[in-house]
Amino acid sequence: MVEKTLYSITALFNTPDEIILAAQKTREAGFVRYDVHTPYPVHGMDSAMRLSTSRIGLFAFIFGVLGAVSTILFISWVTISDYPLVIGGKPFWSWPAFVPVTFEVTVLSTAVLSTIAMIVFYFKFPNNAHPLHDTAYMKSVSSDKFGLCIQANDPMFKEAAVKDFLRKIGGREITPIYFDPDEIDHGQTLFDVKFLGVLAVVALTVSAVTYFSLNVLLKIQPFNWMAEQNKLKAQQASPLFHDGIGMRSPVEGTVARGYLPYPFKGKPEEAGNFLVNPLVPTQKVLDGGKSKYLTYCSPCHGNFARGDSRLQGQFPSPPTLQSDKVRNWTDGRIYHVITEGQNAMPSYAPLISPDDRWAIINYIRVLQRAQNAKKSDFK
Amino acid sequence: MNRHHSNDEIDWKDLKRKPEKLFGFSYFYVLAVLVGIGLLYISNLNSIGRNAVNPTVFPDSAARISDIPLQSPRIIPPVDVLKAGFSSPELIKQGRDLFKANCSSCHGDNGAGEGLSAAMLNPKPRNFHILKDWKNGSKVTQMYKTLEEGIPGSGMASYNYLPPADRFALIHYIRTFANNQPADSIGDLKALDAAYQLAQGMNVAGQIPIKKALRLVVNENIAGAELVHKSVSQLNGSQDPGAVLLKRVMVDEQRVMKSAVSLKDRVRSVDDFIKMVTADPLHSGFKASVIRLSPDEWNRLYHYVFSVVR
Repeated sequence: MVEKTLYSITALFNTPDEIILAAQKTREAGFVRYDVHTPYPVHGMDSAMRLSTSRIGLFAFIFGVLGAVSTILFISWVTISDYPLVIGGKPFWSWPAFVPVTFEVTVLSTAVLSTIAMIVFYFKFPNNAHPLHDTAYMKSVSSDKFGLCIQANDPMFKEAAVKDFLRKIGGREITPIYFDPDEIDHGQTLFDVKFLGVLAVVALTVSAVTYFSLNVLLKIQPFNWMAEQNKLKAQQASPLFHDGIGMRSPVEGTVARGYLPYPFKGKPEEAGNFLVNPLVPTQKVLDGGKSKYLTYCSPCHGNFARGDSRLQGQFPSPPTLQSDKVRNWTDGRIYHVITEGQNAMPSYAPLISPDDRWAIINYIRVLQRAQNAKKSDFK
Repeated sequence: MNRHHSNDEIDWKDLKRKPEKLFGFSYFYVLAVLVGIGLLYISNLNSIGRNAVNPTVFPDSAARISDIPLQSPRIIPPVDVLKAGFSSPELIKQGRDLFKANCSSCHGDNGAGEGLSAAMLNPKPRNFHILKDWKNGSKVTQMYKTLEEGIPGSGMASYNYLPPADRFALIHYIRTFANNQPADSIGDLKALDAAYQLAQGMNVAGQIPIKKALRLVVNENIAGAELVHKSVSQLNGSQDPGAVLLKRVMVDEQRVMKSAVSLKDRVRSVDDFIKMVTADPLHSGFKASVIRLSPDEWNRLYHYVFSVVR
């Protein structure tokens, strides 16, 4: 049997007052390597143990500075040399934009690195066991007792004397704690074959799973019965038809409903001669025409058809509709312009139904009448 | 015992021993000072731009539609051609504004014929910087002719609604784009005066509110609307062979009768009628098969329709 190595001697106390007193006495007796374990933070313990300020703050400060500096350097490198982008006309090195990121990374690196430092320095990572783990002592102090633990590496440590001392200051259940023999050997195990083997298996598995989920899993369509139907889509071939083309042309000599061709394409004069306004300008027709005119025409031609665009130069101003030319045009001639467009004006056929176009023309006649009033109109 | 340690909020003795802890009490003042320094720094930056002028927002005219005010016909006083025909700095300045409003959308802000609309125009608008191949020429009188009449077959419309004085100002401004402009003789100007009666001034038509114009137009068309209505009801009750034929070849009696009412002064013969209907039968309310009618049937149709509306 391997000889056990002593780690410490522990004692339990019942109340927080007792443990504070015990800690003070231990300190006064000259012990340095000892610790106190309580189920909750006990106020006044630091001064009772005469603990100096924890050095974790210094670590945190160093890590914070490191995080901040490295973040600023990294962002500067990215924005100045690696991927310079002009954003909002600002210089590449526009530091106010870096502040939030720097702040976040500073906080994050401080928190994470301090925690790691604590684990490394205080818990002696990669050791992941501690002699106090799994002891009756630890179970008690994490429940309802207060424990004092004097370590064997204290310069004043003598087993019998420490036991006596603990008993004298009121400790109960004085127990020696031994190292776990498996954990004593702190030799380098990083290059252990078993460890490396597991590491390799983990790396391979993670890579495989990642590859699978990104390249296969993500591309599997969960429900495809609407996207993939047994039907012909545009540009698809089909053996059903003799020409092998899936898209069919309309039957020759027929016109689909709502697709009547405009018979005067490119023939403005004929349209002017043969197209008659089918709408009688009643109040109702003119109200409709006015609403459509104000919607579709007035942005460019102006509310009064004077060619004084409502867009105020943001779009080319068209000629006035009050000119002699337009006033002498027939309704059909104006209809042709609305239908086909003219010069910079596009066709409005897809936007305005034929009847609405005629109603608009009736309203344009009203606007022309208003600005070229007859003498009799003033009576 | 260090009891008082845990009772006191601030451990003054400890503070005396470790003065760096004072920072804990004063850091927010330090922060405030830092923020102040930052604001001062930013406010003194040379590279920072602030809106000195409020952004101009064009008032949306849809929100301020006002009617046209009543205005009697009037005469714009005549221009003195012999004075307006010669350039002056005031005329050029006035012409610049007019050019921006009326010409620049096609001819471009600097008169190079590269306005926004120019891309759609064929032929392209004139580049005023090059004095070559001008249709009417670039003398004041020649350009006046262009403004008065437009250039048929091109996108150049007539601008005869602009007051003559404005047109002269516009011409003088446009002529500044090129050097070595040909000069007008007194004779040219006098001929222009005579050709367009500039000495008589310009008649400007009267204006009435749109509401009134709308009422007038509706009233003037009441008779026509009633005629259409009457014709349709007569057609529905009629057993006349023409009516029977019409019912066979039409799809929309309203359109047939409206077209007939509109055309009753223009259509004087069966041939006119056939031409009008066959140009776009569906538009006039007929079936497309109407084009297969015999001359006899056309005749019957024509006489029936126009006897009803006349």
